[in-house]
Amino acid sequence: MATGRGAIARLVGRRLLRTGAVLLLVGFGVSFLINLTPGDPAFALLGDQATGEQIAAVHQQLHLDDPFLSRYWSWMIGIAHGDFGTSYLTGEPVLTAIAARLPVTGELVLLALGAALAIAVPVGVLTAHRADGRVDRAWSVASSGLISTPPFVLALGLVYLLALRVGGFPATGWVPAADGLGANLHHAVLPAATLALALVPTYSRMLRADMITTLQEDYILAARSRGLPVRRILFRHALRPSSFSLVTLTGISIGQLISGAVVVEVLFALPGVGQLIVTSVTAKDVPVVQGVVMFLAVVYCAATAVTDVAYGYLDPRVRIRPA
Amino acid sequence: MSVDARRDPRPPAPLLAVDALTTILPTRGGALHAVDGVSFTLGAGEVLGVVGESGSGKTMLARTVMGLAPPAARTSGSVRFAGRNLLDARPRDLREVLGPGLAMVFQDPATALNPVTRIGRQLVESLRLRRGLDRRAARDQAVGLLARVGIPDPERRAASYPHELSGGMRQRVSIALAVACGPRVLLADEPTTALDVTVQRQILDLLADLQRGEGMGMLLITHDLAVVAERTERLMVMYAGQIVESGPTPAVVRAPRHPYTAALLASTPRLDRPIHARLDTVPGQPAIPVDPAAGCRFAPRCPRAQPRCRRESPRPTTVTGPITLASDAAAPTRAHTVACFHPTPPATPDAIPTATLTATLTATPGATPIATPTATPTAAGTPGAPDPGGLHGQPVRVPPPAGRLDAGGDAP
Repeated sequence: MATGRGAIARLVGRRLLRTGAVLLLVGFGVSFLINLTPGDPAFALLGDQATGEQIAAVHQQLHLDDPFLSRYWSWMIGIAHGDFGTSYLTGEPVLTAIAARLPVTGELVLLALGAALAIAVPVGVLTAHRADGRVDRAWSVASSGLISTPPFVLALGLVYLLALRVGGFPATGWVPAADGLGANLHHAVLPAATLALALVPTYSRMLRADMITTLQEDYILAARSRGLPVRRILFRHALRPSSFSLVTLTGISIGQLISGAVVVEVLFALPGVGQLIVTSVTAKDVPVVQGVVMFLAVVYCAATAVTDVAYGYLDPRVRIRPA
Repeated sequence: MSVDARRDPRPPAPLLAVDALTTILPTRGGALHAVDGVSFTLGAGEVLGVVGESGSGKTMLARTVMGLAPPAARTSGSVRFAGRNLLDARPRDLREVLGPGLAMVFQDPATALNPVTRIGRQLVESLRLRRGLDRRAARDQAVGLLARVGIPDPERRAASYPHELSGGMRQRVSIALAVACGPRVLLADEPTTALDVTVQRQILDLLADLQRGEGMGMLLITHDLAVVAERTERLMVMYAGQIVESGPTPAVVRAPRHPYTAALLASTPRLDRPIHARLDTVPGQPAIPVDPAAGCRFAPRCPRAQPRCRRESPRPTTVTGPITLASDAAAPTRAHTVACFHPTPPATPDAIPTATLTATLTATPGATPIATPTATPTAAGTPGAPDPGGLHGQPVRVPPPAGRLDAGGDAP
């Protein structure tokens, strides 16, 4: 019916408007913050020995002396035309720079998410099933430990353990997937594990809490009264209705993963987006910093949108039917 | 003194025999004796009612029988099904029994169905996993079951989610799920409480129809005396975890001996009383048996209580009276028993004529009270009692005493 489709169109339209507003705010925020930071990009470009004339030339060339709002405005106009600007440092278009590093970060984030879920879901389900049992209590202690460990400590611990003591995993470096998937994964294990381990405790605890609630539902009792196997009840009947918070959290943790990627990429010397942020911030490469932040905001909004669609898949009661 | 010539003097070996079943739940306030020493038997084709207020332990009784008591519960006694004690069975053995042996219908169909799974899928799952059907056979069987429980257009409805169905339809689906594996005993835990009054009768009819059609034993748990009076052959009255009175339904309903049963009956609306008359209520609050002391649990609310009632716990004793059959003395719930030191006299001045009682207890819109005065409280008084085959949609009467006991096994 037309009303159903209309409702969906309205929903998508509202969603896009809101996303646009979020991106405008993020863009303004990042430009403003960079504007507040001390230091002159010209010095970063030219070095300490630069003469006053050289600096003035660079200022003029990069419009560094224009008022802040004017610079923000022309930057936004550029974005509206698909032009994110070019790097002060390399002259490379910002989008090209991001695209070159995206595969590394993307792979890391996806591997980490996948691994985190692959560990956290069974652990969450089992600790909920045997809540306050021995495994549950042991995991509660272990996960508290994991949560309170900063990622860089975790990374160093993993490097020490898996790269140095056990051996076999490279402590630094990256091999693109194009040069062989095996070698690529081999290099990705440690950084991805670092990212994943930071997520597993929150994921498994969130799922455990929701799962414990679900397991008290009548329909779980009813499923048991029909003699269905425990494993099936846990994973087929209880998991899906228990996974809303976990799905929300997974969407949100895209942000956490990216900030984690900054640390991990620096530690493991990986040529990813995180590395790009760090170098461009230290070099005051303003267009790159702005571009990367905008790009991440887009990714974040997209992840949120996917999360909302996932709710509809998980629970038919929140579905809108274009019947 | 046989009432019915067909009646076998010896009761059939029970399918389900529950003995001294006790379920104790740890609570913050102490040990809650949710089920306390409950014994009964249930044979194939029999319908046994359990009546009691909310919190009297009816649901926990059903859950314990099913082996589904909460993990923290301590249980004792025995639940023998087909000769095996389910209470100490291994989880795997218990699971084998649940479905084809014992099955349960839950109180609230809005919560007893998985909200995120299509109803057809839920049925197919049980049929494939528990009856080993292949995908197609299970699918056909599921549609057949939906049709059997009266779902219109079952083919299409199988693709519905529970929230797309009405309350009555959902309860029909829960019933289909419960009977999918052809259980021999069905525990129906307040199956109509969450439903509209107009739908309640349909669901009870459906349950009776399935019960007779399959020859299932059925434990019908309810707080509604009218339902029990109409639909069961025997009944147990539960109070604070204990069975305070039990026996053939007509005997108990017509001549309640426990003051609690009498009070429950007196608080039931009746057509032979003036309209707008205030209903009697049971004074006080239902007892919560946390760390119960000795003494009758009903004593604090009981008009007949004596000092002894507060000191000693009365044990169930057989009421001597015309309804007691000597051959049944061994079967606890077959005889009319009451756990009371000072039971209500058998013939109270307020004795309710059967006809009015039945008509009132089962009062449904449009139902006319049956004028024929049938039985006096004498079992032998009804030799020509009509065949009580019609649980289904018939005008309602209290079944004639005693002779009704084995009638549930009759083919419809």
